[in-house]
Amino acid sequence: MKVSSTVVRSVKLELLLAVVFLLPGLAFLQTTGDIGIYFRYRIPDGHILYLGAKLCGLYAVIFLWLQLLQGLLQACGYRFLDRSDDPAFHRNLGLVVVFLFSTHIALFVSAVSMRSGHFAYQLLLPLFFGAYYPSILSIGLIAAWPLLTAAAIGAMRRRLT
Amino acid sequence: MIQSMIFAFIVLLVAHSLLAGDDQTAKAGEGRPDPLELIPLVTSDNILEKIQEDAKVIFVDARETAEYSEDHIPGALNLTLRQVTETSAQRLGDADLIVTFCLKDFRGYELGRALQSSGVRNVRLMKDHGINGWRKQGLPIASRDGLTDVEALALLRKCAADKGICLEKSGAADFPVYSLSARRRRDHILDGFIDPSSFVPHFPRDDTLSRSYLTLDDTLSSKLLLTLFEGCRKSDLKGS
Repeated sequence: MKVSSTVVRSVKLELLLAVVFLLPGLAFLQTTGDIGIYFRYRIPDGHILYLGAKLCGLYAVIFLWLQLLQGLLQACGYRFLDRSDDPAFHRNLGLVVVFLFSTHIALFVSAVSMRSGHFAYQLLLPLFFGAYYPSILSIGLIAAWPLLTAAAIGAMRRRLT
Repeated sequence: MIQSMIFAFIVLLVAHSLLAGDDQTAKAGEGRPDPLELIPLVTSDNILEKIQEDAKVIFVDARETAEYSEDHIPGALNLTLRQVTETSAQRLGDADLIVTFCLKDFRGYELGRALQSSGVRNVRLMKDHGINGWRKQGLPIASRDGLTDVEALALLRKCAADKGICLEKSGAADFPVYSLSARRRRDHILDGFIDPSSFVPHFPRDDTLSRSYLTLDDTLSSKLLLTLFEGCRKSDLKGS
C-alpha cells in the first residue's frame, strides 16, 4: 500500500515536471514557428540571442512558479512534491531559476547590443519616469533584485550554519 | 526527472514539426531580392520613394498599444504578434510595401514572419531597424505630446517629395524638429515645412484597409486613421 502511494506520487511528480518542461516550449514554438528558418536564412544581428532570451525567460517564469509553490505549500504543512523535504532539491531548483533569469538578462542585453552596435547598458538601469517600454523593463530589473538577494542569502546561510 | 525531460522534448519536437509544416514563409518570400534574406531590408530612402510614387505603403507597429500611443510612425497600424490572424493578415495582402517595425525590430521581425506565414507578401524591415532608426534618420514621428498623425503624415509627404528636408539632416543632434518643445516643434513645422493650405494627406492613399480593419480590432491606430481620413475628405471638399 505504501509502495503504491509512493509510485502514484512519483508519477504525479513526473507528469508535473513534464508539463513544466512542456508549456514554455510550446508557447515559444507557438510564437516562433519553424526554428529551422533562423538557420537557413540570414537574420538581423542578435536575433538568435533574442530568441534565446525569450526561451530562457519563459522557462525561468515557470520554474520560479514551481519553486514558489513548493516552498509556500511546504511552509503551510503540505507536501507538493515528493522531494519537498530535500534541501538539495530546493537549492537546485533555485539555482536553475537564478541561472535562467541571469541568462535571460544577459542574452537580451547582448542581443540589443549587437543590434544597436554598442553596449546597451541603459537596459540595466531602472527608469520609471520615461516611456512605457523602459518602465516595463525596470519592473523586471527590480524583480530580479529580490531574486538574486534570496539566492545570495541562501548561499550565505549555508556557509554560516 | 530525466524521463519527464525526454517526454517533453519529444512532444516539443512533434509540435515543432507540425508548426513548421504549416509555415508558408518560403512561399510568401518568393521573389525576394536576396534569397538568403527571409525578410528583406529596405532603406528609408526606398520607403520615401515608394510613398512619392503613390504606392500603397503600410507600416505595421508590433509594439504594445501603450507604446504605440506614446509615439509611432505616422499612419502606422498597431498589430502585435499575438493579434495576427489569417483575417487580419489578409487585409494587408494587396499592399505594395508592408514595413513591420518595433523599437529595434526584434518584435518587428517576428511580426513580419507571422504575416509572411499567413500569406502576406512584400513584407520588409527597415535597414535602420525600428522606430529608433527612423527617428535617428530625422523622419517624422506622431506622438502624444508632439505632432499629430495628420501633421506627421503631411511632413512625411514633404520628406518624400524632398528628401533633403529630413534625410540630409539626419544624424544632426540638434535637428530642430526633435529638439524643440512640442508646441514650438509643431509651430516650427507648420511654419517652416508645411503650408497648411496645401495640405492634402494622401498616405496611405486609400482608406480601404483602415476601414475594414476597424471591424477587426478597434485599436487606437484605427481611430487615428479614421480621423485622418475624415480630415482628408474635408480637405478634398474644400479643395473642390
